[in-house]
Amino acid sequence: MQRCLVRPDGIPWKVHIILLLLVCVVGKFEAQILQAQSHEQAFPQIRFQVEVEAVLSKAGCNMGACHGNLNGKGGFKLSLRGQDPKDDYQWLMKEHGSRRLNLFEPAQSLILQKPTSGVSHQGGTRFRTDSLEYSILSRWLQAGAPGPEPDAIRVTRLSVTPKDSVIRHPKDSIQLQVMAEFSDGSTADVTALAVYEPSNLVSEVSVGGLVRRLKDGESTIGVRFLEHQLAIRVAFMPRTSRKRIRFPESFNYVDDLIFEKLDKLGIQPSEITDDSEFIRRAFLDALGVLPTGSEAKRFVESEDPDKRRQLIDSLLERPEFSDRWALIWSDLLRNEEKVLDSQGVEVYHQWIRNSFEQRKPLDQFVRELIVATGSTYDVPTANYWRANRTPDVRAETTARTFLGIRLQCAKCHNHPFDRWTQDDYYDWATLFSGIEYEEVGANKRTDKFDKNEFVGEQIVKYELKEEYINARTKKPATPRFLGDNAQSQTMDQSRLKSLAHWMTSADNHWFVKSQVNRIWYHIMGRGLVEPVDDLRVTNPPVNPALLEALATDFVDAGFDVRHLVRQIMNSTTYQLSSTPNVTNKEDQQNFSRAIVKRLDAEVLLDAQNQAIGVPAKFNGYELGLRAGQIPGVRKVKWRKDTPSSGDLFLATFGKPDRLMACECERSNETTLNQAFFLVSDKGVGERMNEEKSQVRQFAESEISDSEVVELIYWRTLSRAPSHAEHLFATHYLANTESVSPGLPTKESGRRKSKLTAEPLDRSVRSQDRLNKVQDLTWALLNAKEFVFRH
Amino acid sequence: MLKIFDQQTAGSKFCDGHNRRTFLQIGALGSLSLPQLLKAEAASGITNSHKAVIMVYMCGGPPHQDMYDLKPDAPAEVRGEFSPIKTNVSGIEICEHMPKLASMMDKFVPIRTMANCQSGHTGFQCFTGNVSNSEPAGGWPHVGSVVSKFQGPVHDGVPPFVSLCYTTKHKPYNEPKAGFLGLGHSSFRPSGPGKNDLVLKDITTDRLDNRKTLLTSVDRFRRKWDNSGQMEGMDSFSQRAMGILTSSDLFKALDISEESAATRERYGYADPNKPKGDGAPRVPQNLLLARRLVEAGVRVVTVNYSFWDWHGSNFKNGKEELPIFDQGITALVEDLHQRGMADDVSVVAWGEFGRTPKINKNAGRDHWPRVSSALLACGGMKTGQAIGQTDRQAGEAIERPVLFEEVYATLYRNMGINLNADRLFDFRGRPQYLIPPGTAPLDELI
Repeated sequence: MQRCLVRPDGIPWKVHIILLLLVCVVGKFEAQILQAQSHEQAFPQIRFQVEVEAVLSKAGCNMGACHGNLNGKGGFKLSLRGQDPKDDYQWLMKEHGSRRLNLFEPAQSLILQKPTSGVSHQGGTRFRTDSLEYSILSRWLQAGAPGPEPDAIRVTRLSVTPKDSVIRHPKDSIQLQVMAEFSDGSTADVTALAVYEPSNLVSEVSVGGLVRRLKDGESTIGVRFLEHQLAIRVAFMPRTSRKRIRFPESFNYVDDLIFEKLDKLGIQPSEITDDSEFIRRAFLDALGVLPTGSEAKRFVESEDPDKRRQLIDSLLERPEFSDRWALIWSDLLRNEEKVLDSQGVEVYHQWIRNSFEQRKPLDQFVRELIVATGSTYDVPTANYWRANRTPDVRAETTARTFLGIRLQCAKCHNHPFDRWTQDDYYDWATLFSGIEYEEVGANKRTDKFDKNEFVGEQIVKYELKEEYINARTKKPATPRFLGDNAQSQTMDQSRLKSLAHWMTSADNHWFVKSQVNRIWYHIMGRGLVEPVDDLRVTNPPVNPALLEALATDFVDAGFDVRHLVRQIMNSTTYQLSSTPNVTNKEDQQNFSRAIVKRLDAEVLLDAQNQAIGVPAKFNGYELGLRAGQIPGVRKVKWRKDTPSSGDLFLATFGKPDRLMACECERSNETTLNQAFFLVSDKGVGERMNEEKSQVRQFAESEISDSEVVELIYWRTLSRAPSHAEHLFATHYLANTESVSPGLPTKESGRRKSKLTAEPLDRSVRSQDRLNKVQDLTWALLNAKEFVFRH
Repeated sequence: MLKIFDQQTAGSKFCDGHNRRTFLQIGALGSLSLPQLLKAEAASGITNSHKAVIMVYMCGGPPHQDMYDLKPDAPAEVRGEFSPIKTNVSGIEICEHMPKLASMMDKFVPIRTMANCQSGHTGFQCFTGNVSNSEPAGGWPHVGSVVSKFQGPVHDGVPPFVSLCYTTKHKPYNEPKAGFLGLGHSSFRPSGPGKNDLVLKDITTDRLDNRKTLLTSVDRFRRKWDNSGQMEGMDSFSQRAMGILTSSDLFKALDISEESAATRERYGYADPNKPKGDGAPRVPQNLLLARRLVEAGVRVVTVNYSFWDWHGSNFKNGKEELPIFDQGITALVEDLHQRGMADDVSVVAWGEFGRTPKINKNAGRDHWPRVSSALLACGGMKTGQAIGQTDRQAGEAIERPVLFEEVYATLYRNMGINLNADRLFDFRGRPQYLIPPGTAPLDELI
């Protein structure tokens, strides 16, 4: 039974409600019409290669995980990020007349139904029916789905404002504006059609380009429109206290530029570090070794105000400086025995080391590598080509190592995050296609696991037989330097000289910046660009001005590595403490405090051994060679001879196998196996037990416990023990109880000293003292302060 | 009101249902330190009851037609010497030298049509599930490393991934490493080169305790830096290492003598000191060890078992090896059932390829990558069925060819890992799927 309520004006409630609903529906309809009109106003023209492609990108249809995948998705394929409008159009039109593109009833087309979830779509809802995306696609369909025009309009330039912004409380967002310039001279606001990709979880960007704070910090936002992309930075500042930032004295341009950025961000840098931490850090970074106890002590006790600068100067003159850079470059140049054989490894390492010893400018160093041909035994640098055996490996390695360009994506499709096209890739790769090898004699290697593994001499030759084939055009590529738009260059016959010259020229900003960034990385522990060999417009440096300034300085100094290292190490920035303060505890990338990092495998092992005073043994090498001086990876194969504890240590702590030309191959991760090594490896125990071990000599000498503690602290941690530490350690040594003490309290101290007083057999006592000195040393070698660079 | 669609984040959603934020979170795992990972894990509700995989790799390629797929009607030069016997599942017959397996076939699944074997003697397809020749930068990671990456340790005392594999003389039998997942996810190998470190040799546990206290004190005096969590990671690792060295679960788990004589007898014994051929030694006790490790909290245990590359004396070898394998593998599965672990622990035993239908002049069978077999059990799978059918000579799959990646999809599913959605990044920053997207678990087993 239904009762009809009647209002005082006589019209039933029901009618009112119906009218109201009608108004709503009409209103909504009108709103939709208005919305559609505004879409039409904003983008009146619909061109396949501009608006339609932009929508396919904007909605994510053509990304690698979806239809942009090499094999498409769900039977529908698009070119990755719309890089090939012609192909896209063909693929779309293949379904012409079918459900995918329904020109008679555009709204029924799957390309509108799927993304709006009108029919089920594994990729979910991509846009709504009142969206700009919908409007563009449906207007395109209504116009008969015209394809790309042959001399289609192109985007010539993309710009985003603001480029670099700092957002302070209470503001929480910033609107971006993206402008495109077209080949016909017109410009358009494409904010609504650009794609936004934040680099981290600090911010999120709306489809309309509004960047919003999720938490405090800095974000790089990739902005993409058609084939153009660039990146902008946004920093969201925490609610700052009113307190002004006090910057320490600036030493050089490094500090000026770092502090300028920190000032903008409202970050107070950490204090300048104390002398102990400084000398330890300086030795580890410049030389890869610890200061000896006496070096550290002398430095710390010196009252010369100029002592840090003097120390840096003296470190740069030491042979270990060359050892360290020979190790870094041996990693990068893939100096390992399987491909180069051990003689090749030796000569190659020696050449690298000598280059640094002789202060060879870095541009010359690289040129010598690139132009090298000849016997891999007589011409050490020929091993560069011996290690990189195909045109694509040579092309990728050379670009990545010397120019900081990661090309490999462009082998199969245009680089999705960079400017490189497939043609760029093959035109570059073909520069390397003339390198050939002549094997001298038969391969002395007995097994056939890897045909590249060759024991014996090889001659590297340049002999151009044919150009490398471009996988896209299936035609021979045209030799062309990266980023060079000219179709042909004048090149010498072997191309390598022209290549080397072009690559290392002072105007080649890729070369200069990537090398400067690498040097910065190895001294500071983190690159201005990270990953260190990935310079691209969508991965900007954290401090572009500084990278620029370092590059200029490096060029002006004639590519002198020592000069740049000196500049960096003398800066106040380098000498900041690693202890965070309230304002910089969240900062990971602006160098407001020293970076804490586990020591590299070689450095850690050498540091242990130096502290103990006994070297570790490495198979195939004379006893006494430091881990940081080992030329290759594995001179004696593990299956030929049981690896020594030193060899195992290096493998466990992440010494790379040098199969890739990349800093990323070296692992600084901490693993359980490493913990085992540190905690219970026999190697350390044995070395501490040896006759000439300093630990043993201290224990067996007449030196007082108190002095022994001092000495061991200086040897291991490069500092004097604090009062509490000193008290604790002396107490431990003096205490004859086998049960270890906790921190000495008044009560336990009294109780134990009573026990100590009891007479003990002399030999038992001395064994006991040895054990305890070893235990103390062990604890210090395992302390985080020892294992980490800080 | 139901909110169907959020316009504001629309542009950043991937088609696999993850939006960019979750994607970033997944991608960012690599940079998480251990403690962060542990915290993240705790937050995501990963608990103590855990899924696990025990993988037995039979180096060299066991003869599929002499184990699970006998062809009594084939000509003599193909059929061989062994006869089929009935099992407790009607319709499934297996080799007479595996009577125990026959009596509990309801708890197993033989796959008779592993179809995409590689032709070389390599373990990597069994250990990574990836047969593709193009290795990503850094290399394909081992299944244990994948699980370690996605799920981390169950608790502090044990690592997520323990390998009981022996280093073999033929190098490609050896397990791949953690590949592009990095050292942090490599296996823990009590039988590997690090085995000496697991046992305290030169110092007593008392002395280690002393050192531990000493270290804690030394570290306490200057506890300052570390925001990155890296040091904390080191800390928790050394805690674990010291725990294991003194009295922890892992150490106990590895002490097989705690098992009763009857249990050890049930798994069987064999000479553990000598590797067979250029493969692994035959150590059925390692299956027991694997079970103990899983009980202690390990998620993936791998065992390499004996040597199956029988180019000669196939049947003599078979008569010797099959009963021992029969005893060991059934002991394991029976044990898992008895302990209530059968639903959580997936067991797989397989080799890299099958053997030639035709018996050669040395009474052996040669390499046959066109078809091979696998044995699955437990893990909550529907057991008591055989999958796939080969032709009359057991030379080709004619029905239901199974790919390594499908078995992997099944194993990962059993572990609770959705690999179709979760991407990883190799050393060059290229996104990688661990198994080809779209690969489905074997639906017969679910």
